[in-house]
Amino acid sequence: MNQVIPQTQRMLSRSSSSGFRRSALRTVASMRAIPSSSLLINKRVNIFRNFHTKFTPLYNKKPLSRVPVGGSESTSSSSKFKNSTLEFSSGKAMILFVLVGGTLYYFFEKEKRRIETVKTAEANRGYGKPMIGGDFTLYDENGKEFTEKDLLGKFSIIYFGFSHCPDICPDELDKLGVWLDELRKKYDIILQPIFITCDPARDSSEVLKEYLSDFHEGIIGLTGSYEQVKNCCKKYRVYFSTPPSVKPGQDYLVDHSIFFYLMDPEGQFVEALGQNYDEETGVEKIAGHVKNYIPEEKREALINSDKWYSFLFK
Amino acid sequence: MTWNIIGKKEKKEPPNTRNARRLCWDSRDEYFKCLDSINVINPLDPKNSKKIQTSCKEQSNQFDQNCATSWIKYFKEKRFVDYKRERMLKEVEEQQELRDSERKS
Repeated sequence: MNQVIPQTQRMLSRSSSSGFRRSALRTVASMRAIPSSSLLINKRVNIFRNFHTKFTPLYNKKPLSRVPVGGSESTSSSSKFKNSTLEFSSGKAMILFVLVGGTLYYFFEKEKRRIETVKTAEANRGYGKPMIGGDFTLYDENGKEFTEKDLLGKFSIIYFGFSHCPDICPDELDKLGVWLDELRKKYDIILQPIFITCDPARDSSEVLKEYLSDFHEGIIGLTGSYEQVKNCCKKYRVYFSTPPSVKPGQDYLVDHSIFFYLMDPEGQFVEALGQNYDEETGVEKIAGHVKNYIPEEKREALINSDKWYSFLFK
Repeated sequence: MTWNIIGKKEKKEPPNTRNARRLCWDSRDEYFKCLDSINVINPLDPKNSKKIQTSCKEQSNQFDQNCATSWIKYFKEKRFVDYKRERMLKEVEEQQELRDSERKS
C-alpha cells in the first residue's frame, strides 16, 4: 500500500484540482466508490429511455416499419400471433409442419411395406434356390397320363416312396392324411396329394391303387417306366436306390429320401417338409405358405407398379 | 405275384395291407421285447442266435411269419442302428452335462 500511494500521487500530481486528487486516492484505496458511480450511469440511461418512450406516440409508425406508407399497423386485428416476435413460424407453421411431415411419413412407410411384400414374394419364387421340380410324365392308378401340367391351379403335396416300404412310408402317409383333414377343417385349404413310387418294377398302377386305398381318400398314386420315374426323381432331387442285382420276384427294399414337397398352383416348388414336421407343425407350416401365396397376376401387378417416386427407395 | 412264393423256405409273404402291416409290427414289438429281456441287442450277430433260439423261439417264428423277408432284415438292422445311435446321443449328453458342471464349479 505504501508503494502504491506514492505512485498514484505522482501520476495525479499533474492534475491541478486537489479535490479530484483526493477522490481518486480514495478510489484506489477502496473500491467502495465504483458501485455508487455505476448506479449513477443506470439512472442516466433510465432517464434517456423515459425521454425516448415519451416521444414515440408522436410518430405514426416505427422508423423502420414494413408497413407501407399510408397503411395502418393494426389491419390484422384477428391475428393471435401478431404480438409474438416469432410471429407466423411458431403457430400456423407448426401445424403445417406436423401435417406435411405426418402425411409424408405415412406415405413412405406404406410404400416401404409394399416394396417389402413384393420382395418377399419374389424371394419365395425360388430364384437362387436349387430348382426343384420340372416336367415329367407318369401314370395315375387308373393308367391315365399325369404330367406337371396337372399340378397347375391348386396346391399339391408330393411324396416319394414305395408300397413295400416297411415302416416310414406308411407312417408318413398316415401323417399326410391327418394334415389333409386338418387343413380342410381348420383353414379350408384343399391340397392335391400325390404319391410317386420309387419302385416302378413292383408298383404298378393296380398295386398303388390297392396300397393307397388304406390311406387318406384321394391320394393320387403315380408310376411309370423305370426311366420315367428316374427322370421325375431327378427333377425333384429325390435320391433312390434299388439293390443292384435283384432277381425277378425277389423281395427287396428301396432306399429313398423322405420329404413332402409342397408345390404352388403354378407348379413351382415351395418347400420340402421332412420327418421333423409332426401332425400339428406340418399343418401350420403348409397353411402359412398357402396364406402367404400371391397369385401370379397380382404379383406382376405389384412389381410393375413402379411409381415416379420409386427412385427414393432404391 | 411270383415274388411272394420264392423265399428261403418257400415262405408265403404276407399281403401289403394295413392289417398285415399292423400284424407284422405287433409281432416285431413282441420279438424285440423278448430280446430285451435276454439282453440281446443285435439279433443278426451269430453269437446271439443260440440264445434267441432257446428263449425267444416262438416270438421269432411269429415275426418271421408275419413280416416280409426284407422287412425282417430291415427291422433287425434298424434295432441295432437305433440302439447305437441312442447310446451315442446319451454319451454326448452326459459329456455336455459333465462339462457344464465343471464350468459351474
